Amino acid sequence: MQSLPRYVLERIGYTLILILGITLITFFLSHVVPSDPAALYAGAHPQAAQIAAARHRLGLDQPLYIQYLLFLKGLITGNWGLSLRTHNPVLRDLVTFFPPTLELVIAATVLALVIGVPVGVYASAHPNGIVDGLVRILGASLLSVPAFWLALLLQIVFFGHLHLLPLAGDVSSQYSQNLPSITGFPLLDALLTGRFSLFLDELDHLILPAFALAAYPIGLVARMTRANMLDTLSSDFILMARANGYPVRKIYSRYALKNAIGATLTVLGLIFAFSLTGDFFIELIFFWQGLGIYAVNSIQYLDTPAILAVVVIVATAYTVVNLIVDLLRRAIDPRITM
Amino acid sequence: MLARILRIGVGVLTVGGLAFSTLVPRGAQASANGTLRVATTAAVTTWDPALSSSTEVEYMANVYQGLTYAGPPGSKPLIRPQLATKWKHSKNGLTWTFSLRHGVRFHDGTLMTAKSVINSINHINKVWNNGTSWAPVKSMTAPNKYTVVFHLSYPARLDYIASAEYLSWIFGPKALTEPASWFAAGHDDGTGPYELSNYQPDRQVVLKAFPKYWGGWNGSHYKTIVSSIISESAVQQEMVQSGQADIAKGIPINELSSIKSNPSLRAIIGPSNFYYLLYFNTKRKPLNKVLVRQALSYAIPYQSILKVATAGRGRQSRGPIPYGLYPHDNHLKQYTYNLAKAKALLKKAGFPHGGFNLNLTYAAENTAEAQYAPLIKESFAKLGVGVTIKSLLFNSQWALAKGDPKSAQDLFLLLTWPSYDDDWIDLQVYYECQKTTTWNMAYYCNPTFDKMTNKAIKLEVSNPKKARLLFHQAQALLVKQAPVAWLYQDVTFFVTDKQVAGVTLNASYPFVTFYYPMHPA
Repeated sequence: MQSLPRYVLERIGYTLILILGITLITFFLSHVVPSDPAALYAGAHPQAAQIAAARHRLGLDQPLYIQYLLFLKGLITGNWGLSLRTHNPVLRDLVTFFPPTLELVIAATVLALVIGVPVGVYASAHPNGIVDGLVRILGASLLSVPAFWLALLLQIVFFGHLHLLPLAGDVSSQYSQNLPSITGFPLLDALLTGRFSLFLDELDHLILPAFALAAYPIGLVARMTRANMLDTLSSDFILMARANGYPVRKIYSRYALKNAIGATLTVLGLIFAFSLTGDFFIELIFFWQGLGIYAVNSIQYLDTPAILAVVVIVATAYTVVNLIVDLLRRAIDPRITM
Repeated sequence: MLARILRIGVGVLTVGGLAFSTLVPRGAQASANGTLRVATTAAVTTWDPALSSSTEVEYMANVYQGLTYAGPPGSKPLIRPQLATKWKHSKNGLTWTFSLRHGVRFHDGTLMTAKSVINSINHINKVWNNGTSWAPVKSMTAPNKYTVVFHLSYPARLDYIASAEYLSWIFGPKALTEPASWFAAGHDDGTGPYELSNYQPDRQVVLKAFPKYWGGWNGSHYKTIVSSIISESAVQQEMVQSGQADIAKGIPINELSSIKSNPSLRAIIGPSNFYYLLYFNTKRKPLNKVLVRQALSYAIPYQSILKVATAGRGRQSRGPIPYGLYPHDNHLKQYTYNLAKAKALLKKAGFPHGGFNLNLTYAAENTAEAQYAPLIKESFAKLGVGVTIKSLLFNSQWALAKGDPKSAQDLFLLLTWPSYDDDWIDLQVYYECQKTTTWNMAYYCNPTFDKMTNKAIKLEVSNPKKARLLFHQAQALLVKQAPVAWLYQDVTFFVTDKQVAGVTLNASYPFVTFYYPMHPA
C-alpha cells in the first residue's frame, strides 16, 4: 500500500501523459478535417490577402510539428493560443465559460446526492412496497427521458403555464449589466460582494437547468443506492448488527450506506466530469453560457485552439474528479487500498 | 440521523427553490427607461475596428462610423455624408478630397481630425498588408485639420469604399494604441451614437448612448441597447412573445404566421443584399460544357426554392449583382424553370437522357440551403441527372472547394453578400481567373471577361457611362456561360414589439440594425 502523497503524484503523472496523448491525437485529427483556420480567423468574407495575413499572424505557415510543439510550450507557459472564433486568448475564454458550467454541474450533482441517496435508502428499507415500486419506476423514467425534452417541458410548465421560474439565462436583465467578477463563479461572486438579491436571482435561474441536468443522475443514484443497499443489507455483519439490537437508523446510515455508497460515488464522479461538456443541450435550451456551448461553437467553427483547450480541461477534469472520488472512497472505507 | 438530515435537505431545496421564485422580482416585462432589449444571433469575433469582418458588425455599425454612409440600395443619393460632409475627385479618379465634419468627438473625448482618418486607414492597411478595399490608396495628406486628400495608385470609387460595413471605420487614438486585451474587455473608440458599455462573450452586448454624439439626442431615442446573444430561434421567439425582448432577429421567416397572430408583435420584412449562388465546377466533366450548365440552370426550381426558403418573399436573382447595387443590370437574361428547354440543351450537349451524377455540397449551418438542396436534386433527377447531397460545416465545405478542382465538389451552394454597394468587386472575387481559389468555386477563367471588368474598373470614375456598359457586357457574357446559377436574393426578417417605433431597414448593411432612429412608440 503506497502513501497518499505518492499516490497523488502518480496520478498527476498519469494525467500529464494522458493530456499529451489526447492533445496529440486531437491536434493531428483536427488537421485531417478540411478547414482553413486562417480563413476562419480572417472573418466572414475574407479576401486572399487577408487570409494570408492571418495565416502569418497565427503562425500557421509553420510546419505542423512546430505548431504542435509551440502549442505544448504554450500549455506550460499559460499561452493556450487565440480562439479563431472569438479572437480572445483561449485561456481567457475558458475562465469566462468554465465557472458557470461548474456551478450548474455542482448544483445538479448536489441534487442527485441529496435526492437520489435518501430515496434509494428509503426504497431499500421498504423493498417491494408501493414506495419502492414508485421509486423504481421514477428512477427508470428519469434515466430514460432525454434531458433536452425534460428541459423544454420544465420551461413550458414552470415558465409558460405557472410563471414561477424564468425561461432562460442565468440572471435577469436588470442585473446583467453590472455583474461582479471576482472568482468568475456567478453565485459565489454575488455572495462575496454582498449582493443578496442578485444571488437570489441567479439561484432562481439555476433551478430549472439544474433539475433538468440532475434528472439522469438522480435516477441513477436512486437505483444504484437501492440496489447496493439491498445487497449490503443482506450481509452477515448487518445481520449481526441487527441481532445486537443496534438502532435501525444507525444500521442504515452508519453501516450499510457507508459500504453501499462507493460504487455510486464512482459513477457520479464520471457523470460529473461528462456533464462539463455533455450538458450542452441544457446550456443551449436555457441559454446558459458555459463550457458546453463554448465547446459546441468551437467544434462547429473548427476552432482548433479552443477545441484543444477544451480537451485538456475535460481530460484534466476526469482525472481530478476520479482522484477525488478515490480519496473519498478511501475516507469512507479505510479498507480500500491505493 | 443522516437520513433525517437528508430528508429535510431535499424538502428545503424543493420548497425553497419554488419559494425563491416568488420572492425574487422577475425581470421587467417591458422595456423601461429607454432600454431596448434585443435577442440576436450575432456573436462577436473581435471589437477591434481594424480587424472586424464578421457578425459583430451588428454592433460596430452603431458604435463606429465611416467617412460616408450608404443609403438603402436604389435610394438617391446612395452615398451620403457621415464623418465627411462633402468630397470630390479629380477627372482621372486618382485624387480624392474629403472635407470632414467639424466637432466630432471620439468616445474617448478626443476630436476627430484629418490625422485621425489618416491614422485609421494607415493602420487598417498595415494590419491587412494592403489587402483590403483601401488597397488603391497610395498615400494621404492633410492640407488642413479637416481635409484629407487621398492619392490613389489606380482609380477607385473611394466614396463607396468609405461606406463599407467592414474595415472602413474611423477610430480614435485608443483603438490604435491599446492592446488586444483592451478590446476583448469590451471597449471602443468610435464616433457613433452608442458606445460599448458592457460585453460578456457569447452572452450579452450593452450599448449606451454617447452623450457627445455629433448627431445629438433631440427627440426620442433609446439610450441603452441590451443585446442578448441567443443562437436558438425557439428561445428568441419565446422571449419576444413573452415580452422579455423587444426585438428578435433570429426567428426564421417560416414562423411568420405565428408572429402575425400575436397582436403585440410586428413582423419587419424588407429587401436584403444576402444572396445565394450555386457554383458549377467548370473543371469537371460534364460541367465543363456550357450547354450542360445552361441546361441545369433551366432545371432549377427557382420559385419553389423561394417559397421554401423565404416564404415566397425573396426575389430570384438576375445576374451576379444584387438588385439595387451598382452595376446591376435589370435587362440581363434570367434563367427560368423550364424542363423542356433543359432537356433540349442536354440533348444538344450529347446527354439526351442525362446519365451522370453530381456531388452537391452545402453548409450544414445554413437551414435554408438544407431545405432547398433536395428540391434541386429532385428536379435534376427529372433530367436523368443524379445528385448526391453532402452537408458539411461551411469551413470544411469551403476548405474542400479550395483544393484541387478536379477532385472537388461539382455543385457548391453559397450564401454571400457584398461588402459595399459598389459591387463590381464581386465580379472579380467570384468570377475572375485565380491562381489560388478563394471564392471562385466555379474555377471559372475567361480572359475576355477579366479584360472587360478590369477595363471597366479603370473607367469607373473617369467615364462612368462606358464603365457601366462594359460591366453589363461582362455580366451578359457570364450569364451566357453560366458558371454559376444565381438563385435568389434573400429578405430581411425580424420581429419587434409594437411598442418599438422608428425601425428602418437598410440592405446596404447586411446584419445591421441601426438603433439611433428607433424610439418607444
